[in-house]
Amino acid sequence: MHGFAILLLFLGLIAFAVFRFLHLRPAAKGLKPAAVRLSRIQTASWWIQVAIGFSFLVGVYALVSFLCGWPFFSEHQARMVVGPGHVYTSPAEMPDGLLALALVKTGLAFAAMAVLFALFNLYWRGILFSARNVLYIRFQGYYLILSFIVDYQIQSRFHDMDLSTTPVFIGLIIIFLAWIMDEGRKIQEEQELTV
Amino acid sequence: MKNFQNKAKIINVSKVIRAILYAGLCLWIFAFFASLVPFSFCIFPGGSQIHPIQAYASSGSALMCVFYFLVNLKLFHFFERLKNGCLFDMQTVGCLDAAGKWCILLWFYDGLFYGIRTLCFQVKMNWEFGSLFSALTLIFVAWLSKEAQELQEEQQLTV
Repeated sequence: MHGFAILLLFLGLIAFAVFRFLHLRPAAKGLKPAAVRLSRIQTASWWIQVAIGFSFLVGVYALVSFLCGWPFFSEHQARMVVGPGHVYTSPAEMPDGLLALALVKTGLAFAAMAVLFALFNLYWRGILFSARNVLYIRFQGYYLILSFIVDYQIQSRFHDMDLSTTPVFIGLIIIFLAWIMDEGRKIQEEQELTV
Repeated sequence: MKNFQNKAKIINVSKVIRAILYAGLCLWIFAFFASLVPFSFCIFPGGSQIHPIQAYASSGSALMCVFYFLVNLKLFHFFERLKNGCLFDMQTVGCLDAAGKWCILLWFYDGLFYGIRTLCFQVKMNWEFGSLFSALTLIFVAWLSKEAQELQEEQQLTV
């Protein structure tokens, strides 16, 4: 099949998946709109949890295979990309301190994935506005800022520094989002007290 | 007191983000006309011929600017609502949802634009999933905000 045909097919599939994602679903007929919305959030959260879980497993395998010198899927040896043009195939090749920083960055990424998984687990259980939700969202924002600082430390060791400040802005936007969700939590708490 | 502080913080930050988005709106208008500049050279007598790839890239970029402008506009309206203290109401949630949907269209158009360019002009395909990810995040947040909107409406009815 031609490359462009594959691309169009892939686009079509993605469009269909997004359409289904947005307009769920015949089984939801007969339910109240609020229940339909909640079911939609729960379904999406479940799929996101699956994606995060899979990414987490692949990430752990990639890290372990790099540290132990195992092959990584089709590659003969696992590699760690620290920056553009800075690819290492074993921990012994890495300069002093770089491995520690790379491990800190990877550890932070795993922690963020675990927290994101926990957040979507709350959504999946139907808990949309709670103090824990707000805490988990805020954690993602702080993670992006911390990750940028670690990345800066890593990149400052190279002559060809290539660093983007986008993660910091996204992190700040996520913290802002956590404030909005905190307002939602207060509304829900007030509502529960009223009832 | 804390509740008031939180809302005041949201309003203040929204003012800043709204100003940035306003600058973004101006930028997209400028970018739209800037991407049409190559066509102006071939209008005047004695002007240089425009190559097919230039025509494709310029017209495609102009249309892409329109999509970016629309996403930016919806986000601008969203932060305008937040600046006015309307956190969870139908219009605010609607703006966020619309921004997400326009962002999906932008990603789809982006894919088509680069795909056709690769097919017709043998230019290397570079297609990112960043806008799709942002779009889905915006839509998910809009769903959550919709729930909060329902809660707020119920609370107002109860009071």
